[in-house]
Amino acid sequence: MASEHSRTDASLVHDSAADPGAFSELYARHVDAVYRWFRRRIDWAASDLTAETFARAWLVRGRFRDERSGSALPWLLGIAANVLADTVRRDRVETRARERLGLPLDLARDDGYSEVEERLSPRLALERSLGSLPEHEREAVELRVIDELPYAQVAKRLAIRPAAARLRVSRALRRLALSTPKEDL
Amino acid sequence: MNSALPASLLDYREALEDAVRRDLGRRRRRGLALRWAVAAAVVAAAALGALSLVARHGANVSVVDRAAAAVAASPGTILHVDMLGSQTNGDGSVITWRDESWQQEGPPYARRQVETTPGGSVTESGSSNTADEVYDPARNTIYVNAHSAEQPYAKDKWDLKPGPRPGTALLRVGDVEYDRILSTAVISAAQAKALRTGKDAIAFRISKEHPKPSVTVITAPKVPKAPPETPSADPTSSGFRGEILALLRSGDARVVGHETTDGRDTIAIASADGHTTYYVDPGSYRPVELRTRGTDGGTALRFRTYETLPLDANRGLLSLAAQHPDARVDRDPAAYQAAEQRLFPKG
Repeated sequence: MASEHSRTDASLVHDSAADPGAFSELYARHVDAVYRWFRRRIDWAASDLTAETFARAWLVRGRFRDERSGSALPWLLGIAANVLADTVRRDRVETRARERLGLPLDLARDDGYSEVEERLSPRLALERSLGSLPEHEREAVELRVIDELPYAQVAKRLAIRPAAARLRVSRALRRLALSTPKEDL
Repeated sequence: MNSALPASLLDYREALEDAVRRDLGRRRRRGLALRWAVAAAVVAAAALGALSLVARHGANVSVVDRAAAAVAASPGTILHVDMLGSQTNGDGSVITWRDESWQQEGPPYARRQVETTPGGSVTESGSSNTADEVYDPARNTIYVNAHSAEQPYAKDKWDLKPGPRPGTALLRVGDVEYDRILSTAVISAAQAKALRTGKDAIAFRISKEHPKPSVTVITAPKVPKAPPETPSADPTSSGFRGEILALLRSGDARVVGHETTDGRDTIAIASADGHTTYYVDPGSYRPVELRTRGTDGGTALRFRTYETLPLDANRGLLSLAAQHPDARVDRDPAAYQAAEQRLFPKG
């Protein structure tokens, strides 16, 4: 077997079909980046959502396509974006992949996060982080990301052109470091 | 890994590797299609994983998390539970009952159950999102009460792909996130657009000839925006399992030690107020007994069987018709009501 350092992420994903240690190595390589990605967005749930992202990555590993010279990080961040979107839509921390795999479900508690008010609502926590945006950008992001409206409807609500709505949301997301690999966002 | 990571994520690496190993083992065993072997091996694998986790963490919180995961719904499976219930009343009297059920762990949540009442009578019934059924052994007849023919499908359980021809789209319904597709249909671009905007909705239909659901597009109900999930639509979230999960996720559940229950070793997990104690198998963390007590008596649910079965190989367990192939089927709603009153006189 090749040493861990000589294997690309793509090889690790491929080899994990027979070698659980390969997926563990993939986790070790990228858990920092995924955790930091979540911390910038919803700090108190970052551990849980990072754990959920890797559990989901395992379940959907068959969809991984090596399009970035062997790196799996863009793929993992794409899954992270979906986990975050599902968490906001369902207004509770995503646990479905971990439940399926019998993994721990409440890491935030282990990490000492106990602020009940914040933990009640991931949606509320994310909305609070939007408070730093100018009013017109915040409204656009809320309509697109939280209400999940298509750009045409966002534009209609804001009385602007769809292209302008897309630009406004994009600018706001960059400002929040809320960029996401999802093409349809 | 960076040492700045929280301890939970440092520990999670081993838990994840264990889970991956178990999942790979489950997939291999599924390939053998031996139902008894799968059930036994899942328990063994879960036991190995659980024991290694306890050895690493040694903390009660892991036991509680494991116990919660052990009763969480697992899509694509059937949960088989054989449960004895007893209720102790304030006057010292005790009533007992038995409930054996097979519950599909995902839409359309088909269920069959055999209930033995405190009086000793046995009734067999079934249900799903589309119909309720009851079996009358005296008349060897299955009475069916169909729900509305079409029901809107949950929004996050479908997606759209490019269709086979220009101007068409492929509608896929099921657990699309994990590629568990229940049914597909080719629809027009206009229908696809109406679905996306919420003007139209998905419905599924089960015909007598084809028990597999087929999907169709209907005008959306007059509700502006359906909630993403309706908890009550999932029967697996209610009942004893809901009670167990409420205890385990309350943040107040604590492990009080090992106890012998029904002649076997168990781990006892208690609520903060001491009114509820939940006993789990120390290997699989699956339920053994749930006891609740109030000011005037208490209730105990003892799980004689708690197992997860592969759906495809065991669909017949969900069906009254499969269990009673020579029974007559009566779809008259009035006959169903009469049978219900006859077989469940106390409701």
